[in-house]
Amino acid sequence: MNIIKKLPLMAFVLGLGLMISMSSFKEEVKEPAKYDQNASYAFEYNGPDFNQASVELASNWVYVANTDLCNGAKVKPCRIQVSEDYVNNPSTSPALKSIINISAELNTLHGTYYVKGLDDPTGLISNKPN
Amino acid sequence: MEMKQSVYQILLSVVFILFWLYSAGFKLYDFGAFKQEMHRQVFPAELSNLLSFTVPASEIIIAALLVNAVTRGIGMILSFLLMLAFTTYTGLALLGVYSTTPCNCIGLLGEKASWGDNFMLNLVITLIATAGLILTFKDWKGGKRV
Repeated sequence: MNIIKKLPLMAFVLGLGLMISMSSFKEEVKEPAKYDQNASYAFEYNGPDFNQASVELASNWVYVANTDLCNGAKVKPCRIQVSEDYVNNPSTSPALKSIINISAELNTLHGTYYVKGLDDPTGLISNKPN
Repeated sequence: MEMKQSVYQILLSVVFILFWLYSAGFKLYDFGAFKQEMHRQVFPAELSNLLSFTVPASEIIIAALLVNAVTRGIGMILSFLLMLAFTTYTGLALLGVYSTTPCNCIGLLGEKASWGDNFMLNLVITLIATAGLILTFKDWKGGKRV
């Protein structure tokens, strides 16, 4: 029974050890796999205004080589990342395909539309503050 | 009979300690990606930010509570409540209750899993937590702590 009583503590130490070792291997294992398996392309919003139609229009998004995302505040659209399936001329001059479905939602406080959803299941969304 | 009950309670604690630490580690492993995934959920931006920190922190705290016999009952109740919250969230996503479908990338099963898979996993773990909850209440009723 004494050994059994010590099991939770042993499990906690083991769990913490696993957590720390997982973090140690992060740079070596996870990052290369992420980029090798699924190249992503970043596009920045360059529309004339922040209306729903403008935000949802693929041609208002321009390619940017830097794949950094914005801070995520849901006020105005900033950048999106999509997979190659949604990109025209990926190796020469990448442009967002018009078939992509970008959905925008109204920020009622600021009266601007931000990106709410993408039909690319691997896509990433980032919005920015006012 | 009581001893058997205590052993089950300890074993359930071990299972949940490992589960919560794995779950927290999974989120903290690539915290930047986890924060992005939180922003693809149905919550407002401020709440998404807050949850990015509080969810893994809560998981680690619950795991710590499950270690000690004195706090194990609280840990078991919190395990049940957190699992119930996760299951409710995935269940509502599955039913299409939210105005937009949130990204199903947030679960332990990853993006390839459907909301149905995530819901089933959460439901099973919630049922296990329910067993722990019942044992805890029986234990408290008997005025005994292991």
